[in-house]
Amino acid sequence: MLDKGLVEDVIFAALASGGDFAEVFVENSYNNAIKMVSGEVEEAITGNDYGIGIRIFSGTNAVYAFTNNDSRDNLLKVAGEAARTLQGNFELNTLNFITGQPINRHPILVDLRSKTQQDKVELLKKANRSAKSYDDLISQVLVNYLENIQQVLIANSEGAFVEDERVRTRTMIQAVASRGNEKQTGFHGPGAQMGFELYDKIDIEEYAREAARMAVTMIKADFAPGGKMPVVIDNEFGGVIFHEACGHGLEATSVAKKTSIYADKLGEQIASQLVTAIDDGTIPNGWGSQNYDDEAVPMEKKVLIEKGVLKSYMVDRLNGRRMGSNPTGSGRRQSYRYAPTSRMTNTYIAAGNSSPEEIISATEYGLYARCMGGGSVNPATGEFNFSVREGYLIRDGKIAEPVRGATLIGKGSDVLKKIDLVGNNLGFGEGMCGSISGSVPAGIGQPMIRVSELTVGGRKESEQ
Amino acid sequence: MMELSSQELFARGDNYGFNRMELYREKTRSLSLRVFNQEVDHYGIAENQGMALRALHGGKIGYAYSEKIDQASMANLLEQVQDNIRIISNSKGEIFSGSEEYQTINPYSAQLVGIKPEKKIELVKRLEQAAFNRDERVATVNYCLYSDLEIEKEIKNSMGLELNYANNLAYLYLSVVAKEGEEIRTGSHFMLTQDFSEFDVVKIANQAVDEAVSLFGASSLPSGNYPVILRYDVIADLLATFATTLSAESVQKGLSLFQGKLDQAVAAENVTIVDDPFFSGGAMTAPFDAEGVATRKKKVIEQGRLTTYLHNLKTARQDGVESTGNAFRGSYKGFIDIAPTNMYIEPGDIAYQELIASLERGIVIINVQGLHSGANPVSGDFSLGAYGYLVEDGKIIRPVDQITIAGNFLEVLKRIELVGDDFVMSLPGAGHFGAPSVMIKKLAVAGE
Repeated sequence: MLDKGLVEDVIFAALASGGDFAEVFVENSYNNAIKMVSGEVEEAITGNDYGIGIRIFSGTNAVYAFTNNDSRDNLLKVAGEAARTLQGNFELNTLNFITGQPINRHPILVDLRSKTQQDKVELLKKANRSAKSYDDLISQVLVNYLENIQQVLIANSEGAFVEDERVRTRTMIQAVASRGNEKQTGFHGPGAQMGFELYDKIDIEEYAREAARMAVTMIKADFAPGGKMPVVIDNEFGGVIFHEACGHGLEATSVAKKTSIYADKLGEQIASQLVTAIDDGTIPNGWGSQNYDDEAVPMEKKVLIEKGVLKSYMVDRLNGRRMGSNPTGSGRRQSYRYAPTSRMTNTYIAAGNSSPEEIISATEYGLYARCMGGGSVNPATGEFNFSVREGYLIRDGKIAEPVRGATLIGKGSDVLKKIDLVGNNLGFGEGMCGSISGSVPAGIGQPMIRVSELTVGGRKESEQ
Repeated sequence: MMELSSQELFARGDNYGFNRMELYREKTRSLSLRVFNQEVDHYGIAENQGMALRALHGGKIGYAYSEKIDQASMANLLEQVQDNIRIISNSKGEIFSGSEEYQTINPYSAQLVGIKPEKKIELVKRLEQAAFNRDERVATVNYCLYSDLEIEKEIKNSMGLELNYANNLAYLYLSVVAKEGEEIRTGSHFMLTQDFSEFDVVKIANQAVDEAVSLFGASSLPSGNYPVILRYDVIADLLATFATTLSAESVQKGLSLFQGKLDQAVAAENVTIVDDPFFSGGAMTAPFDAEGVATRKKKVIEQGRLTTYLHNLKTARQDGVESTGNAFRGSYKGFIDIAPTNMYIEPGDIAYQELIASLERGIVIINVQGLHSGANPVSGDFSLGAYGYLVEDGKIIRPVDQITIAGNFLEVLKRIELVGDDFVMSLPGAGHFGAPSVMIKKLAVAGE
């Protein structure tokens, strides 16, 4: 993508004023998106992102610069400008790039570019028909098709030189149910780090029906009651509770500056003994997987919490310097426009022993969150909020009527301790996670769990 | 970098049989810097440019973009546009020949460009220091940053239209963590300006720190309906979330809570909402929109009545009206959509303290969380984590957290009883929104 000799020269130019680490990140990305509304292709855009990011450290001071212009003169100029903002006394004498055997854990069988736009439209039409015909209450179906092939070259002054290709595709289906003036939506967005073979492995029509079923269920639902109650959160995207309530607080981004409540807590019991949590960037073809992170460190599988005890943080190079820790393959960024920082990959609570049926029947009254929406968290206080996309009340150990508009709020540290049942049905979902290094694909998973008590935000007066 | 000639591109496009073509170019330059413990912990320099081609064939519009600007990219653009035109259903696409007149504005501040990096670094260090000086319970300044951004946009089309403008802005942002015993609270504040000399680090630090320490001892409340003051930034955030459905596209697709409400009362009589592309210091200030249509200022909701939706060329044609100049494109990488420009609720004349004094027992909400997930822009329903203060007999008596507020945005607009005079524009995101604080008669609060 960029000549090795030029990369080397840029690294030397970047260290001209004594910085002790320099990195070059070159990205060439192909993007393609098709938007279908009610079976009609409304827009389609195809394009190419191309840019170079240059990062320099001097101790824990960092500078990041990027440009789209890859001419030798410009890159040396940008590297020099960035270098001038730092002072140090390090001198790099020689640079020998180490090119080892490249890792490739995520085989791509069918090149996304080998399919025509029309092939992709046929896929979207199937999803549209399947959702629309589910029920007369479905008034609108939106299907967005996305594909991204990101080629990267990452090299640094320590000799790393990695070239990698990340291929991802995702189809996002939103079904809208209408009744009178009311509207409710249902959503599914399957995706993977895979080629077009993804759509042979999954049944897109089944996902579309599920999105429609969710919308129809919710349009018939009454508002959720508010107040404190036990909450059962189902598997797959339900793992967003761990992602938000705890995962962000284990990123070195907030741990290094001690703005996380989990800073300085390694070895301490921070969660119920039933909780083992893992961040694994090596899952083959996983949505949040990569061979290497965006700092040329191989991704790895890390146990974050084992039986409730905090075992590991997620660490990037810069924050690793601040913490005196090695990077853990967690340095990620949306694109060359962002300096990388520590981020989650595929993060999940490991399977436990209870069956989903046992968990429901052990709950006399509470909320069953079958499908979670998104959420956010304040890493300093651990306060979080999640929306429940599809919820039900549990009465006498049985799933009762559906409820809409529920939000779960609480503090991560409390919730982790209040997980009192963990199911055996581990599953994964796909999300986009936003933070200071941009929006990155994040795999999210868990089995069904029960939290003994959570505040449910709803519009109806509490029943209990 | 080689400059791609639009004439050459359009000439080659003729060979593809394209009827009309438009080349959109965007160039940004920005600087961002963060200070942590009086050291520059991040310094970012960015130069970005890209271009997008839109072409019309048989009424259908195809898109393609590139950040790589060379001969091969030009060929790719034309091929990709052609592939995309083939699958488009709608054949009523339009590439605009130009408006008769464009407002003369200059949203670009030359003064801002001349500031030396050393001055910016010094300013951010002073901001961090001011935060620690304000209160000894400040444990960490987790974000202390300065950023300035300059953007140039240009539209050229095959009918000879040539438009361009440049805009720039700078801001300071501070977020602090305060600690008392084991209790941790956060507060943040920002300032956005085109005039570097306006930055007041003490004021920003005091606001962020005072807010954080004011929350010590916060606890929840019994669930129920309460009168509520939504502080200026909270109501502006709600407006930003739900204003997307003022788009005629959302309305035409049946995805708007404002559907069927044109010329009807959708808000209380004391509520006027303005879309102002000429607002001084607005991040969205521009003389033309993403399709090259002249922008204009309008009252979208006037004394509670919905007077217009926001249109681009496509939706305007379908409704038989003129485009309101609200075509929007996030960047050359995106589709043309519809968005408000600088949109705000007009301030009233009641001071913030008077709003508080008006509550017998109620809550001031100073922050909501989860807008991207707990608010449904189609139905208008929201349920959001929130915190603020409990008011009794017209006085703030204690901080409140671990509550949610839930309701429907249209109900909120209709129940606005009092409109404050404390108008502030928020930090820009996918639009630039502002509001004064407002008092709402009744809102559902869930707590204990």
